[in-house]
Amino acid sequence: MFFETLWELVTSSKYWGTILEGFYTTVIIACGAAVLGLALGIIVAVVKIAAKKNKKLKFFEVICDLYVSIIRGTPVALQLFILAFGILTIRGFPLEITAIIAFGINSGAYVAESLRGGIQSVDAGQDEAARSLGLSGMQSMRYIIVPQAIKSVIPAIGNELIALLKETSIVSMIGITDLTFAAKIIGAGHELANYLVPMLFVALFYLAVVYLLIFFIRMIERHFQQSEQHADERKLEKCRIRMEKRLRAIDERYMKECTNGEN
Amino acid sequence: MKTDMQEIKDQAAAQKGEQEDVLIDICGLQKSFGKNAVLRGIDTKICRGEKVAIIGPSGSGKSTFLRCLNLLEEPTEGNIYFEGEDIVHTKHINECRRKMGMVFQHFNLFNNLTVIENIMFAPVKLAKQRLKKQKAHYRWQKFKRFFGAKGEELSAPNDSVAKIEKAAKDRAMQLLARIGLADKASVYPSTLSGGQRQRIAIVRALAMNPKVMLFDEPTSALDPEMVGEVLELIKELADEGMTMVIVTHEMGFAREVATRVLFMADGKIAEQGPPAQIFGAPQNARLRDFLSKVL
Repeated sequence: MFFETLWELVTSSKYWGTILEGFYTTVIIACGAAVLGLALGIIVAVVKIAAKKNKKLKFFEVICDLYVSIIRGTPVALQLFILAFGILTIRGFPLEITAIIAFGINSGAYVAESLRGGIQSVDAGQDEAARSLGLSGMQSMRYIIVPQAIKSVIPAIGNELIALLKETSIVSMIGITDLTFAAKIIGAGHELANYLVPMLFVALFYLAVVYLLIFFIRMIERHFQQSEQHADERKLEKCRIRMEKRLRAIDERYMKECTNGEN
Repeated sequence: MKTDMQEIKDQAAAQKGEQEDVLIDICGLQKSFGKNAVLRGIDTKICRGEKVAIIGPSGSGKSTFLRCLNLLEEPTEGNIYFEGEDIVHTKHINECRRKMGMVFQHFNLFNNLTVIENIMFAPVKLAKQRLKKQKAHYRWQKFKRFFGAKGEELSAPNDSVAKIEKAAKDRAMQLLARIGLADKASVYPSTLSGGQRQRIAIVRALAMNPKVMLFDEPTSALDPEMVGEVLELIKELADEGMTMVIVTHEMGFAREVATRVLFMADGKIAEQGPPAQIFGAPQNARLRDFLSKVL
């Protein structure tokens, strides 16, 4: 029964079309929101850090604090509703854009907090040392603080992106056919009349994208970890393992040749 | 219009300055964190070639005083003159800081740079900045001349980025060789011992060719066996005639190297004088009490 339904789903081009369309919508919304969220997050974090040293920016700091606390203090579904039904109620305004803006604003608050946390986690002595050598605050930030903060920020940002991708599944609440909603359509009575199969099938799509994201995050992390502790030792260890493998291969070949010779 | 009296006074001050060759002049320095007053009015002069050791119980404001000297802490009140320039109110604080090397208790080497990059970074960055400015100026002059303006003699900047980097690298290697760590040039600071890190931190400050070195408890975070090598290097610098201000708990070292010892208590200079006097015949009751505890 289960496999029959699965077979029907996989072989029907109609169902594939619905799923791929939903997948496309989900990816577009997630990507758009990620770009908007990162941009917003960077701006808010920069303002917050700059305001610490410069009292003139106090006003902007208050705005940023308000933004972060309101966004983090209310559910994302509510924010989506307010934007879709309360603010961007222009007839014909593409709903996908509304979703991108809503999720972008939401994710910006979280990104800002993790960026700020990362920069504050760098020892204050690093900045002091840079300033004592006569470098400007900007130079110290750009060449000393940020490169060290990135290492602790990347995993947090990665988590935020993964969460964002999965959170986009609630856009069906404002009537967008995303990947999750596509599964619901396919499962309805006059289509497959089975919810379990399409939903499990769609889950694989989400899993695949999340794994891809994790893979990229790992790669970036590794790239920035090079200057971390004992980088040289790690390289040596890798080299040693490679050499051992090669030696073992030579040994094996030698043994084989010996036994061949005996035969 | 200056009055005669003022002129005479100015001349007298200038003469005095020449005689003593004052490098840093501190007038009525006060610093408070919120309601907590840490420095309560410090007046002293640091002359070229002098080695000043600052001692005192913890919480007496030694480190704060030192950090005020290059404006890592902004004084609440009072003035500091470095080579005659008021650095509390100047807009060129970065240029002033370049002439003052600072060594921290916790080394503060840049973790994201290798040892040689740590030493080269600031000199290269600042030289490049200067070169950029020169080039912009040169272009502007050329532009003006094109429209018939008579300007000063034109000369293209004859430096290049490669030259700057080469020079800085040579200097850094020379400095590293001097402290016997040339083989560690391309490792990251996290793989080094405390003593090695602190010596590199000293050399990093030296690479800017500072006029004065400020040491903020340079040996307090070190294992006892590493203290010697760092003090040795500081002593070498002192013997070469470098002006230095050292906050330290090493009384033996202060006695040996310093030309003047400041004893600080409760945010004030309680007593000062040559080490023989401070350690041999202390006048102040607080100082006597302090010395009896640490010696």
